[in-house]
Amino acid sequence: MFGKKAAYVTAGYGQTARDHRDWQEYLTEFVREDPRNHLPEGDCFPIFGPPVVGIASADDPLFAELSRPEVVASHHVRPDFWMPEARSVISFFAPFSREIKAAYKKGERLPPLEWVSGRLNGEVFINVLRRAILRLVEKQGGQAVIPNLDLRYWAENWLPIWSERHVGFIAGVGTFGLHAGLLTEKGAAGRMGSVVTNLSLPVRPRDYEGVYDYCLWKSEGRCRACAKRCPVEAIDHERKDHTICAANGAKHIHPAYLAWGYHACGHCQNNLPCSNGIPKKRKRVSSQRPDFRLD
Amino acid sequence: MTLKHASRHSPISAAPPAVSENPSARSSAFAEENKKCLLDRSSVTAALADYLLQVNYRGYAPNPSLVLAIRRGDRTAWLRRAELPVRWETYYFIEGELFPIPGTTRLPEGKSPAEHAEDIVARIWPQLWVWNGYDFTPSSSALNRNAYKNTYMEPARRET
Repeated sequence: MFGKKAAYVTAGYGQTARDHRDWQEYLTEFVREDPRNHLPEGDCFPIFGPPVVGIASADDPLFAELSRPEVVASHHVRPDFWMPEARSVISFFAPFSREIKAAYKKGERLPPLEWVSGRLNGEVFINVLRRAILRLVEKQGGQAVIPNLDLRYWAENWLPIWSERHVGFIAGVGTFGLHAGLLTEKGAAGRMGSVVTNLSLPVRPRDYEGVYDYCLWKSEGRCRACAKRCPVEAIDHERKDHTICAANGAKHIHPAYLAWGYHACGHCQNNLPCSNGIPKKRKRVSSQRPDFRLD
Repeated sequence: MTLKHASRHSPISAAPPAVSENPSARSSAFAEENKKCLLDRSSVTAALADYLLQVNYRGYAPNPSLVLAIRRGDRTAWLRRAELPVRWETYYFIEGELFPIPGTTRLPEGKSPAEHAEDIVARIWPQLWVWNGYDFTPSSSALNRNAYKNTYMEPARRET
């Protein structure tokens, strides 16, 4: 499978990464070359495709908004919590590979093995990507902290002190969907990570205004495909109830994949208009919805 | 400026558990960590000593394809080549990922591989311990539960 001997990508990476396109290229190299981006079972499909990368200024005032209880939680922290001299936050979204998404059949109540394995083993590879950013930052003379690989990280009731999705929104990676996932140019089926650094990097402009700009239901009042797909009705007209979602994982998916050790559902990320990209025929209506605007 | 997120799902729970106020208790937790079934330091050191032995034989020739693999079951480490992953194992590239500074694995004059392995493991141990902890608890709510609870360095939660 690997004609040449595998080696750590960063060690041989001769380029300097500045803006989000550079970092995207760098992480794409990892996704392509690092053997850990493969399922450990069966045909060892690739787990992720090329990521989407965004960069936010550590001083972006939206970070302060995340500690409002109606946004994330009062215990959500700002970038300078992780690193007092923080200047930038690099955020990325890694979409699941075509092979994994193709394995997710529309009529099945349970997710396929490829998905549940990709969800768990993919999260390990997300850690690889987080560390890859750290190492390239260091190579460029900077310092970095990975919030989700830090002992200070914690979460309660799905409310973390550092929300990868919200950070991604601020960094220009994408907007939220009714399914509560982040919706990006590479779709909504994927995993996210971020790194805080003292390097001053060019900010990626947000190509949106509202929190739900890319979601057809929230922006145009049509679709709700994710709600219809959910086998346990965890998504209503307004939001996703994570308690119902988690209970489904524990009661149905975990027993089905007990021997494998996996348990994740992905119905609300697959076989949807937003699974592989931003839904088409979208009208820009965010300015008509002041409730969801970034003023 | 507002950022109102309508999909917030549950009320904020009470403040997180209190952290030990005794600094000595926190540092001693580091020493206690190896007694638990977490990352096995002796096997990490032994694997890296073996690596040092190999790459310092007849001159210094670091091997970029060798990795430090760690088994989930008992958190023991050994050397293998970077290949497709196998179930219940994670691995780290020795050159570049664990040791980003070239030459770190060069054996200093008069030092044995075992001695140098002890030294370089000491440099990366806190970071590797955390990385591996998260790798084996993916999608976790942090290293503050189950086997990891109250081990190692407690996070400075009260600062939040």
